[in-house]
Amino acid sequence: MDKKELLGLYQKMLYLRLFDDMCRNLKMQDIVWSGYHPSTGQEAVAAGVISQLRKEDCLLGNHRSHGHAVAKGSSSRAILTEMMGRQTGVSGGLGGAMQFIHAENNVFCGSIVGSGIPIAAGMGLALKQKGTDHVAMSIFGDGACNTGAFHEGLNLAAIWKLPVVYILENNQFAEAMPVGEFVACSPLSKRARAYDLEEITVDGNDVEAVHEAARKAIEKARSGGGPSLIEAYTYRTRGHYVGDPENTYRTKEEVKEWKKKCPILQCKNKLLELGAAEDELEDIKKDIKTGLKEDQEWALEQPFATFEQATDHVWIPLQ
Amino acid sequence: MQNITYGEALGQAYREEMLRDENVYLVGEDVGRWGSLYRASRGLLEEFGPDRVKDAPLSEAAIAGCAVGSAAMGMRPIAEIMYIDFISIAMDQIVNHAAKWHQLSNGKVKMPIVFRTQGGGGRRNSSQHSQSLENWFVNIPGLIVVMPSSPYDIKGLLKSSVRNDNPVVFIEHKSLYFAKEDVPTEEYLIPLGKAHVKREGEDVSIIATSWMVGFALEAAKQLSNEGVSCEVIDPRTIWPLDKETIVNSVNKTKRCIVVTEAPAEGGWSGEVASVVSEQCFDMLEKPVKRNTGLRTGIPYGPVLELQVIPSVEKIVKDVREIIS
Amino acid sequence: MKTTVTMPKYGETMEEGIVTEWTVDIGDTVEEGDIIAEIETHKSVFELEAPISGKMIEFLVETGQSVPVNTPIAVINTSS
Repeated sequence: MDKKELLGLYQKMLYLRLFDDMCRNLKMQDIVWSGYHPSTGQEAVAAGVISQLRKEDCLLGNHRSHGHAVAKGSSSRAILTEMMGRQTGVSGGLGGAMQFIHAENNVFCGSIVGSGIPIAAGMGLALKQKGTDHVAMSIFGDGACNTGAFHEGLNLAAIWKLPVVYILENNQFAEAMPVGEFVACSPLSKRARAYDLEEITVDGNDVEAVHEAARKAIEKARSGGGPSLIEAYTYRTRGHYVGDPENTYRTKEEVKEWKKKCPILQCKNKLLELGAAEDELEDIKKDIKTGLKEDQEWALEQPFATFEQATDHVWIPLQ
Repeated sequence: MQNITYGEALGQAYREEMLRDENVYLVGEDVGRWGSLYRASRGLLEEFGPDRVKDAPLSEAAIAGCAVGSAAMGMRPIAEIMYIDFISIAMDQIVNHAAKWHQLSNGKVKMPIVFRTQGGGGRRNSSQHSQSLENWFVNIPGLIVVMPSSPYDIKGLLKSSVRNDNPVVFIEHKSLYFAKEDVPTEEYLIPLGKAHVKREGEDVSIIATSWMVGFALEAAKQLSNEGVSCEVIDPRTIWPLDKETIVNSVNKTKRCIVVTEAPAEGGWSGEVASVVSEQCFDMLEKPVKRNTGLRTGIPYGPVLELQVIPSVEKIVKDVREIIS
Repeated sequence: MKTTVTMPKYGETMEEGIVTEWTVDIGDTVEEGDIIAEIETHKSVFELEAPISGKMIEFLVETGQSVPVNTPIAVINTSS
């Protein structure tokens, strides 16, 4: 990857990190409600994979997908205010941080782990049958790969050769459950064998590697080659949600070790090797921070969703 | 007119809707080669091909999830869950997604899905293959629930359900597939949300669903020989309920019996009884009576399974009591 | 410019927290993200990160004192 492209990914990852930090801080001030699930440490997957999707491609996300939505092009203000329960949110402020739909950008995030996996197959079916070369992508974690929906959805996508890319973001923990104890195989990509798919595990903290693996899988899906399952091996350096008792399931030392492998740090070092200047990178950070500060100020002014809105669109009334 | 079965009427409805709109497709276990368990979709795979009639693996969550995903992208799936007893495996997709995506997307995403299934007893299938679970869905905002009771009804209701943009849980009855009735050859639709007075009467309003409608009509016929006049109402759509038709009827007859195969407690029959009690309070001569399945699993075998659900005899007995 | 650090809400049920220990001193320079205190809640113990880089200039609560969420607990002076 050349310096320009890598710089673009660096910028995206840094944006996602700082956006996530901002949302986290707002959660700790009780301005973002509901559980907030930080993506700190996992930015390479969002930036490397999802930024390759077109608007017409569909993304099925999960409870930790605010970054995914932004990476796909949803406005951070629309995602931020959704988490703050405001009318300007993508779901009108009625979904929140854990579940929202940004229809115009084809982003569908839900809080039932694994449920997006069969839905992505259905979306792929429609996209294929309508003669498009758009794809559906479902992004989920190591916890989801133990659900029945994972098995049913992957099998369906495989037998019907649907244009779906499945991204298994293995961040080592499903809540407090360490992946080694709770998944009967290792690496998790072994599960692809059950669907006659290639077993792909990629370093989820190496944005170039993740980008390349996704590029191939997306291309395969677009050209009628059927689904792929990619395990992106990463680590979440913060808790499952803000306020979870991390000390009950991992040590500070382990977190510290993984922080050394931070995807943003790795990318930065690579860029410096390629001749980027520290100042240049600092400027990027400053610009992002300024923009986010403006976003936050704007967001705080937005009106809350109303009772009328909360009881609207339940169904389409009969004529 | 054509004298056809419930299953044949359903097959005609599929075909007409699939010819009318290329986005309509059928997906489910054995809907293609077999033409469905009760043969309703026989011939459709040959006529429309595997893109429109999709045999699915034994994966209810994937069938329902496929329906959700494809509907969001503009298709109109008729997704079959072979027995309503299996629908528990698809519940996440139906309840957490199909029922909620319209609201979560601020009204922008539609879920024009018909989740078709069949329930009830009468085929010796025992408790895990004979349930009546409509009340599960009545309580979920966002879902429409339909229970067709006859060949004429199933054709018109399925067509309306396919054309409706809401997710519809369409619950057929396994003991009705071979019931026969005269059905028009010309196209017709039956509106959702409107009850049907299947028999007019003066002395009691019997609100019955699905297979029980036939039992109520038979009971009404017998009672007419005794000079008792029963009004039999088939809600057709369980939610949204046509309260007006039911309330007008009970205000006229002053007596109401609700007949369902599903047990009483927490059932939809309680919903009807509440509505009638609230809105016909001044006119009611007697409390609303519920004649329902007993609180037990449907037992195995032709004798026992009929003893735990309403019957013509039990309905006749209840009517005699309520008018005394 | 002074920035006030407030008692964060770690989790939905948290209503109060206790600063059990300040891990920096008044006058120390802190970087954004540095751990500046240990916070105890009814559920667990958390490390409080500096929200901004600057100089720690004031502690507003005693250690061991239980305070409601969003209470100001420290002041950081950011360099202009």
